[in-house]
This record gives sequence, C-alpha cells and structure tokens, in this order.
Amino acid sequence: MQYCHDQFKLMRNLKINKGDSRQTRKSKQRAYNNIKRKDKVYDDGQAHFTRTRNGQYHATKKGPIKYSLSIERFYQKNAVLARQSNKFLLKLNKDFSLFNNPGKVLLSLVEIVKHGKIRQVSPTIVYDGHVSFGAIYLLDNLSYEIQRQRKWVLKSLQFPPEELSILSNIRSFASSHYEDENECMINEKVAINRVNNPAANQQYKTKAKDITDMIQTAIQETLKKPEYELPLEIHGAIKSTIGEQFDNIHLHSEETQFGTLCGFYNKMSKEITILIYNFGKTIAETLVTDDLPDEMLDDITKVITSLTTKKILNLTVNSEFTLENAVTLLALQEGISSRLKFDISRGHGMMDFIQQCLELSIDSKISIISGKTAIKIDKTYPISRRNVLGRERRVLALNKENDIFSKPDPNYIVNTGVYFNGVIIETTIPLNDFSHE
Amino acid sequence: MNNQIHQIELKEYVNPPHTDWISGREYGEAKAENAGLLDWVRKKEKVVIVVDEHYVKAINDSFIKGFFNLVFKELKSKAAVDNLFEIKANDFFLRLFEKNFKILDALYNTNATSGN
Repeated sequence: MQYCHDQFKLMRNLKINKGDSRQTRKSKQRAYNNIKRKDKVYDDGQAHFTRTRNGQYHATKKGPIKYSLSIERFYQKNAVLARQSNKFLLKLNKDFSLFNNPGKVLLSLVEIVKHGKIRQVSPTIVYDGHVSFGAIYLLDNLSYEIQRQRKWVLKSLQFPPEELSILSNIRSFASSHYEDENECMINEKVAINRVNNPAANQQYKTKAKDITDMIQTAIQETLKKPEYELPLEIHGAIKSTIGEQFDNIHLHSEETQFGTLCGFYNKMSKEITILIYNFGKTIAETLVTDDLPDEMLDDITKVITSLTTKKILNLTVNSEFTLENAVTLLALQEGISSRLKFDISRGHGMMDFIQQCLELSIDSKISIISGKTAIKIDKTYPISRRNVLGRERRVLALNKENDIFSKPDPNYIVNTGVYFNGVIIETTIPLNDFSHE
Repeated sequence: MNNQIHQIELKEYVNPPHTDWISGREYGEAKAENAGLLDWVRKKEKVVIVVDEHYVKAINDSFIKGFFNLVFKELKSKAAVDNLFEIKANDFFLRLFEKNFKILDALYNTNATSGN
C-alpha cells in the first residue's frame, strides 16, 4: 500500500500546472517518461489504477466525483432511474427532443451524469435523423460539468457534416457568439444579480438584443433585402420571452445564481430556438409557498378539490395526472402568482410570453419542464379568455373546453417521471413561412 | 388639473448600442419612483411619455405594469390615467400601453363591469 501511495504522490508532483514554466514542464514530462509503464498510475472517474509487480491491476478508490450542488441534487433525486449498463449509447432522432419526449431527454441527462460518476467507457451519441438543439445543448452543458471533474469525451458517430459543425460549435459552458454558413448561436450564462439595484440585471438584455439582431440579419440574407428591419412585434415577442423568464428567476428562485440563455438559428431548417433554463425551485414549489396569499390558496384549493372530486386528479404516486402537474398548469394561468400578496397585477408573464410566441409564428412550439412535469404548448390548444376563479382571465387549460376544472390532454401535460430541480423553457419558432415584410 | 407638464423619454432607459429594450417589473417600479411619478399624479400634473422607436425596440409588459402599478393604485381607473398621461409613440407601442392599461384597469378599477 505504501508503494501505491508513493506512486500517487509522485504522479501528483509530476502533474503539469498552468503556472509551470517551459523548463519545469519539460522536466516533469521527462520524469514522467522515465517511469516504467507498469509503475504509472491510471485513473478513471472512480478509481486510481496501478499495475502491481506481478502484472495485475491494483485499484484504489478515489473520493466520489462531486458536481455542483444543483446537479448533485438532480442526480440524487433520479439516480435509481438510470440504467446499470456500462455503455452509454444515445440515438439522436425526432423523438429525442424536449418537446416530443421530455422524459427521454431528462433520463439521458441523469444517465450521463451517472456515467460521469462511475463508468470508464466514454459515452457515444449517434445521429439518427434529427438533432434537437435544446436537448443536445443540455447534454453538452452537463458534459462540461463532468469534464471539470474528470477526463471526458463525448463521441459522436454518423453525423452529417453540417450537423457535426453545429455540435462542435456549441459552447454551452461559456458566453459565446458563433456564426457560420450553417448556424448562428448566441450563448450566455447569466449571473443573477441581487444587489439592490434593478438596473444591475442588464446582461440578458444585451444578449436578447444580440438574438434579435441575429434573426434580423438572417431574414435580411434570406430575403436578400439588406434594408429589412425586424418588425417591432417580433422584437417584442422575443424579448418578452427572455425578459419574463429572467424576471421569474430573479423574483422566485432566490438561491439561483445563474440562468442560461441561448439563441440558436439553424440556417438550413430556418428555425429559431430560444432555450432558457436554470436550476433552483420548480414552478410548483414556487407557487405553493408558506406565505401564499389566502385568496391564492383558496383558488388553488378550489381547483385541486374539484379535480379530485371528479377523479381527474389522483393523489397516488403513479397517477397519470399528479398534484404537481395540476399546480404547474395552474401557475401558467393569468393572475396566478405567489407574489399576489405584494402586488395583485402579477401573474401575467407566462401567458404573455406564450401568446406572443404563437402570434409570431402559429407553428411555434413551447416546452416548459419543471419538476416531473412537462407542458407542451402549440397551436392545438389556443389561449382564450374565460370567466374563472372570480374574474375574467386568459386561460390555457390544454383541453378542448379550455376549462381548468376539466382534464387536460395527457399528450400535452406529461408526467416525465424524472425530477428536474429548476425550470427549462425551450421555444422553437419556425421562420419557413415568414411573411412579416 | 395642474398646468405643469412633465416629459419622460423612454430612450433614456436603454443603453445603446448594447440594449434596445426595456424590461423588468422592478426596473419599472424603480424608474417610476425615481421620476417621482406618484407625486405628479397626486398633484394632477400631466405626464407625456415619449417612446422613440429608433432607440427603443421593445418594452416588456412587466415594465409597463411595474411603471404604472402605483399610478393605477392611486387613480383606480384607466380613464383617469388616460386623462393625465399622454403616450407619444407609434401604433405598436400605443397598443402595448393600451393592453397593459386595460389589465391594470381590470385589477384596480372596482367599478369596472368586466376585465378587458
């Protein structure tokens, strides 16, 4: 054991550090090359390996890899769901997207985190017809977190050159702006500033401007009209989307340090994706707080009691429509907010955002994931004004009657089974039938 | 009504060329407080709000609600707000202010028969 300990110590001393001079680096490299192969220490995510004198591997368990607190929480909550297989092979197809199959995407995130913790084999992703930007962005972001802890390579197979170009240019870990003939990508990890100055949170505003500028340039090139200016309606819709969400993080997720904002324009498919996500409280956790105003608690109780009486909501664990699903859907409705105690005009943000996206393009798709709930919004179930819970308000109940006291379409509010401790909002806006001239 | 007229240029709330839009409820509340909007309203002084579309490309609903929240709390109705405030902007921004004024009216105007 002493032998192994000395080897580790030696190897640690030979590690080339950022501040090492050229000469020190050379010396360390030379010393490393002089160690016999059998005496070298190898490691993976879980253990150090050395070869003993009789040629067998000797492993010494390292301390477990620890990610940031929020990723650890995400992993701990879902670790039992991950497969036991030593291989990680992920096929990217139409089904692998936050809109079409959010549960599959979230489960793959859990598995990749688990893989990073305990497996030796590098994970592989295979192109199988379609790459959903939001899903691959989240995979890339978690891969970066793993890479900070251990050697980590995400192998990609069978990707067409243009998709490979997109994949290789995702820089989800740092602020970046990249553009080539296939895509334009604007990426920002936004620090949530809680100093007592409302003007301090300007970082996302700059990136939101960059995103609208990106779209304007894309349309100028498409229409071959350099004088083209993006209509104010589109400026409003895109910026509202971003602004409302960062307002929500700022107001509701007190512990959240960062939010991620990414704007992506796929020049081939002419599709804009805006992805905003943060770890922190879920939407349901935010709404049902201890200091919820009485009138809000009454409204929530009224809806939950009605759904339970009608046997739409079943409070058992494996229910198709859970309490969290119901509360999350309720939180989207106009005038529903945990902050009503302070200001009765709150609770319009999410509804404004959804309405503006669908006004911008009728084929827009919005996926809202929080906790184990995924809500999918498209043109199938439009927003309408209803007299409900004591006043007229905009309602999106995801059923034909647009009635929050009736069962929503299970295809549009999904219990993913995987708990995401935060909020992901992916908005896809196709510009194929663009006619705002 | 007092004859005093105040003018607020919303282009002063953006930071060109980095930002071209205004958002945030808290930002709106802070700007209204800094401008002394409520004092003007209490003195029945007229306020002109100018939106220059060359500088301001978007205004978030939350900002308008934050900016006018205390004004509606004080004046209670859209009619009273329209009487004191003049918005100088293009049709798009006029519609935006109108929409948010209706929402605030529905919330604060106890005499209103229906929401919006």
